[in-house]
Amino acid sequence: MTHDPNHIPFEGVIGSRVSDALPESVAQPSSILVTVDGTARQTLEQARTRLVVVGALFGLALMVVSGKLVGLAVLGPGTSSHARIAPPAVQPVRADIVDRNGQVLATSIATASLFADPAKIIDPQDAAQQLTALFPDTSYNDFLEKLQGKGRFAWLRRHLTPRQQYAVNQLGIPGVGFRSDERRLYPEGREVAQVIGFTDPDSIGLAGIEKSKNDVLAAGGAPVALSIDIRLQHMLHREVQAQIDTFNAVGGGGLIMDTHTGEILAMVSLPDFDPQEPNAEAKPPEGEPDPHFNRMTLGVYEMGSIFKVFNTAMALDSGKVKITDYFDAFHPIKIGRYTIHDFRGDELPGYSSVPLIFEISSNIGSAQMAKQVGPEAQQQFMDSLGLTTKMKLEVPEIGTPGIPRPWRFINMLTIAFGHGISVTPVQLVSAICAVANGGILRTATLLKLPDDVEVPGKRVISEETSATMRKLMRLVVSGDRGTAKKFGEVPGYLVGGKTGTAEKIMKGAYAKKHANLSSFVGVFPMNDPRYAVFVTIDEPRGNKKSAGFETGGWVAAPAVNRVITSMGPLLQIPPVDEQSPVIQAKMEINVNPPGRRIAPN
Amino acid sequence: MIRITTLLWVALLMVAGGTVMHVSYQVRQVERHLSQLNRDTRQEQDKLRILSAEWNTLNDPHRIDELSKRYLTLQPTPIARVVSLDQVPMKLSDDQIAKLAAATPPKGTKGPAANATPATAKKPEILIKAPAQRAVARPIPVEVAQPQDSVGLLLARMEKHE
Repeated sequence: MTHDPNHIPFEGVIGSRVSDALPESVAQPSSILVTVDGTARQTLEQARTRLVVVGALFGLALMVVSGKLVGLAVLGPGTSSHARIAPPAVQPVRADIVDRNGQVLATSIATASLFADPAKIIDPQDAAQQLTALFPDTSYNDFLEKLQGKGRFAWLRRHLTPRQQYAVNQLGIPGVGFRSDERRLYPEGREVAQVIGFTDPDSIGLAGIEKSKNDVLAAGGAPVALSIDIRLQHMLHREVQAQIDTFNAVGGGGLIMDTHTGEILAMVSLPDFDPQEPNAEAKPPEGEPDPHFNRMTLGVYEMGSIFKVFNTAMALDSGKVKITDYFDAFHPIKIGRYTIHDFRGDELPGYSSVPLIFEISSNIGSAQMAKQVGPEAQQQFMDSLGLTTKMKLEVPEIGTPGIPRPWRFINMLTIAFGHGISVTPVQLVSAICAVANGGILRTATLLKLPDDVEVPGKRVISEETSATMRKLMRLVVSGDRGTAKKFGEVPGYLVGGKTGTAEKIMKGAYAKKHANLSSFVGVFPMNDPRYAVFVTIDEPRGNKKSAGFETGGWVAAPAVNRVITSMGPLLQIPPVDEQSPVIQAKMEINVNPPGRRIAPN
Repeated sequence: MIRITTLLWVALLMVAGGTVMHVSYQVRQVERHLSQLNRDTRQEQDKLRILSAEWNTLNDPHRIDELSKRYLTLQPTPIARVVSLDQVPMKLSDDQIAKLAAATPPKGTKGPAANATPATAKKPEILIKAPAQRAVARPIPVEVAQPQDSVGLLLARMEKHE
């Protein structure tokens, strides 16, 4: 252990001295020590002790090591934490979005993205030329600018196909490389674009569910299941598009809602866009509809006569109007400088019953009914139906209803037939479901709800009023003078509903008679409502086929009819026999009941 | 004495060193294997995602609609063909069938009993009646039946099953 510079190795000293100084015959190692003098002997003894100590220490250390080894071999690694290998850090893949049946609406796949390190590029011009040859849709100057940039990193192109990646590798340009990337794919294309929304190239949601559920989706894991049924979505999309084409309209939309849960099974807004390339089409000029605009959630519209459903339900539920009452639906109402008249007022001489007013959709009659209730109660009723406040839904694009402030008498009269209040179609259909389903309002949702669970709701009208309203809505389709008589009926499904044709507001004033919003909401089967189907067509142009008509009954009802015809068998909804006495008793309503006349005052 | 113990220790040292080396090589090998497995898993998952995306693209109702309009004569089921179970005649018992067979000359197994199921289910189910006559498939235009694209593949598969 001593580090004396003059110290000579012990063995060497003995070996050399013995062999040199003594003859072979007496060369007994032990006897040599005896001949060594005192100081040398002392040194040797000291060295020997030191060696033994050092040897013992080494031995001890070795024993510890081998003991540990035996322990590891026999007992296994035990619980020592530092011996474990950390799992490789895998970045979470953005979660899928699926429809209610598990069909994928949005998914992410691994891709490679091409980047450049401008500092390492030797010949930017040459590199840009080669890249332009590979990717003709990007200009030479674009590439050159990125390759000559100041920084150490620039994306050249995102999301290459494996073939493109191979081709770039073949070029062998120094200073460019790949990074593994992730790309969002929308297998269903444009049909659900408005609901799903889209993401930017870095997979960050910018619209629709992609935006509102961005945190959940970005964390990876289980897919987000929507209430949408892609099959119904397709049917609705197809039929709304067909009506837009037929009537040369500027746009349109549609909704299918489960009347008992508030789940939105389909939501269409046209024109639409390709979520894969959301900005492929140039932004439309002022006045043209924006494809990114979701009419069903962000758009607020005056819905016209569809509001007569709420007006009638309110009047009947208040108890102030009975189903047997008669009102003057003939004489136009004059208030201030306004006159309320009817599209077909001349067909209703004298007093008309409540069912008849609803069936032929009389504005005057509806306003007379509202008069019995008053503006305050009307406002409260619209509040309770959720038509006056911004609704809650799982997309960020939500419109705020336009309501009159203050809610005056004149507003009450126009709201009775759906003018002077604008709401989103989702709100409208939710409220229609509440009126039809027995009187329970449930929040609309785009997320799939678990099966067989009673969805909580709020009672807005009584069971009896709802039953009466179902009969009245059925009358619109089945009645001799019903506004949807021609196109609403689907044999076996007892469709009921209400048409609405509203004049569009443009720049704060009603447009000329030509710009309408023609809608129809159908509910079926009316004896036990399960689904509400809503279609609205924006600015339809009447044609020969529709005898020049642009009303909801002519324009929107045929689409609803076709959707119900396709979706009924698909969802295995059993058709009902209309002639059966049970059904007849349930749907029967007297259009000319004996009752009192309520004079206009 | 010292030499023997020294030798012993040296031997022990070598054994221990050898064991340590062996174990560490083994660990490295297992680690490599593990990371390879992780990489493979990731790759398979990526492939699965691509396949599922493709599957869903091929199953897009819009596409199916177009294809069925072009190549099939099938129509959507009319509502009139959807009936509840209690409208379907009850299945005949074996004795009744034997009696009927004896009474009528054999003309194939036609009759309402052929596709009726026992009416023992609690809630009325829906049966979709078979169409009255089989639709005759139109000949498929040759120019679209290229097996390279997925439409062609689909058609080739359809032909195989005919």
